Amino acid sequence: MVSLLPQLILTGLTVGSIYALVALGFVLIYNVTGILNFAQGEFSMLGALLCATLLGWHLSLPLAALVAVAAVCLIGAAMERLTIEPAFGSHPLTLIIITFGVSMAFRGLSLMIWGADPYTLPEFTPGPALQLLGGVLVRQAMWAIGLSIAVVLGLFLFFSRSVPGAAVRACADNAFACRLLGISPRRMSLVAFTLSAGLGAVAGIVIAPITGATYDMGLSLGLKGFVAAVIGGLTNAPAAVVGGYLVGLIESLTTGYLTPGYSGAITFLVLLLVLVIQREGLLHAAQRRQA
Amino acid sequence: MKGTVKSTGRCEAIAAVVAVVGGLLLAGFPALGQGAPIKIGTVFAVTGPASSLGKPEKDTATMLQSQLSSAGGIGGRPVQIITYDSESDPTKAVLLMKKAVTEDNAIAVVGGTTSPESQAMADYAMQADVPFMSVAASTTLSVPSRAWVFQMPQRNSIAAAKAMEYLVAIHARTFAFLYRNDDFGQDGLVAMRAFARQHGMTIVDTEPFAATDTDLSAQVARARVHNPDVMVVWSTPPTASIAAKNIRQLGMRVPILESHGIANKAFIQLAGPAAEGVVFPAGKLLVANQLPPEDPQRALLLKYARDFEAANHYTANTFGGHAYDGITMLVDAIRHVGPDRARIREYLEHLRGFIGTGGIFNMSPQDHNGLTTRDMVLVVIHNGDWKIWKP
Repeated sequence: MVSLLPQLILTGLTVGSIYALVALGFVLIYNVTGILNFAQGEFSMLGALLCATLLGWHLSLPLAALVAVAAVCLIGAAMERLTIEPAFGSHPLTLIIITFGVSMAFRGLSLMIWGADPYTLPEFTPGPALQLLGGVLVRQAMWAIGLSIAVVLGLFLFFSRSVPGAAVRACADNAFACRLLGISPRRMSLVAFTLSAGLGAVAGIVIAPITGATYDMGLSLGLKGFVAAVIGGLTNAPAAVVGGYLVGLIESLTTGYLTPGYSGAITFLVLLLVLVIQREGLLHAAQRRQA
Repeated sequence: MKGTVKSTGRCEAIAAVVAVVGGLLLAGFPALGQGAPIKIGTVFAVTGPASSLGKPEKDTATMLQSQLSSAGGIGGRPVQIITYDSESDPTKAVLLMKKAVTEDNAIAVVGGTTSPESQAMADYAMQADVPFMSVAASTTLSVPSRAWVFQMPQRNSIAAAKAMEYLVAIHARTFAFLYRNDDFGQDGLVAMRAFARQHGMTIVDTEPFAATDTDLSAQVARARVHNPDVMVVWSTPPTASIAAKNIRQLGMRVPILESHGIANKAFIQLAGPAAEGVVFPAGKLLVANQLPPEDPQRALLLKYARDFEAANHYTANTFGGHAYDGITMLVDAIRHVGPDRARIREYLEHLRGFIGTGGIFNMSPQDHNGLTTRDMVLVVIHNGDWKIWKP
């Protein structure tokens, strides 16, 4: 008899790595602008579908991925300039609703361009799944897990070691003081959207070989990534990644040991608990107590 | 005062022009001056989670509209097919059906892409006494039969019976059943349970999952513990493909049997190599060119596929075929008995030997589906393509 636990944990890590990548995009924009970007899942969708189209034009996978990410960065920048910037200074709720509208527009446009059929991308390193501790792990999941760690490290270096990173952090802390120092919060908002669009696109391209890519994948991805980001406290990138893996593990363990089919409900129950117990997120609070 | 009257008049004139132009645009410029058009309402899930089914259904309706227009309508009267998008939402579906019936004065309605949409629309059809041709497969849509409701796809219990023929043929004794936890999956579970009992087979494990799940290896791992002879999956892509992939990734080599919900190329694209060898019950459209020449459906199936692919950029599939059957059956009824709801209903109920894409329909007051397992074939995926499965 094969034990369930190793497989459930590996499944949780696979799914969790997907949520973690999406959660990072939420955190990046929230940190700089104080708004939740509900079009974050759509960046992943656009990245995956653009990449699939470029592959169809016989580009190699690395080149197609690169072009797709660059294109989505431009889309993110355009979104910021055309929809967020004109409403700069509005109530955050207004801005959040704008991002919601943009996400619906992206979904509708994608349906027109790509149709309703799912697309897929080849695995980056094809081959049989890896045997690990009595369970199996898809090779592509290794990419997703590795990428989520690499992005956290990259963001950490960017924010703590580089001047633009420090400027972004400063804007999040005190926008008024920043303007006095000659840092434009508007430009920082543009930087945040561009970066996080690129991040979303990378996430979409990495997970498409596992899940497939459809025009409406952004909605559920965005929702789960949002839950992960909130559990992590919304402002802390490493915590958001941990939140993503936590949601993935909760889902797979509920499916494995409790009644399957209730994993979604239990995930949101955990979110509610987190919000009731500690409004700013579980991990965030723990860290603050340490400090 | 005078100014107000004048401007109101101008407003009315503008409104009239807008109404006429808008009407023409909506109607797709029907041939003018041959009496009021006969209207057929269609409500499909063109967008939303069920869009991979609803899109080909709508595209089929559009194709039939242009064919009917160039053929000059029915008996000289133009036919207008009104298409609405339910966005995969049962509430919207029933509201749009109401709109088609009360505002557009549609003589009958085709649609209800998913079973929940069709259920809601069927209830309305019964209230309003409107013929409704459902394109969803839930068994409860035609069992027990309801006066105004007709079902175009082979209902789920027929598909399950066909799937069972495969399990019987390979002498399976046990199987695990993975299903999407909604109307479609549960319908399959009920039918497969009953058939398994009849054939002395054991369902060793049942595993529900959600339509939005991105990984099913937890469910597969649970099923694997029971060592089933066959893994049976009852869903549509993408989850149907993810299940097949996860089964192979976890090293299980047993045969995979899936449902008629995977009868489109999306399944093969998403599942990749894991699709190889998967068997499923389907209407004959998928393998039309492999049918023997004497098959009565062959010519129609090939024509539908050819016409559809000439008008659209993707392969014809069975879902569009269900819309084709619903609309052509109504056109046939109107041609014979005229645009009268009660007489159309009466005609459809006694329609026998009607050759459609889904099979040869033999309706009766007790059976508003009129199809049997003979109207389906078992298909195996071989080298990324569909082949008729042979034991």
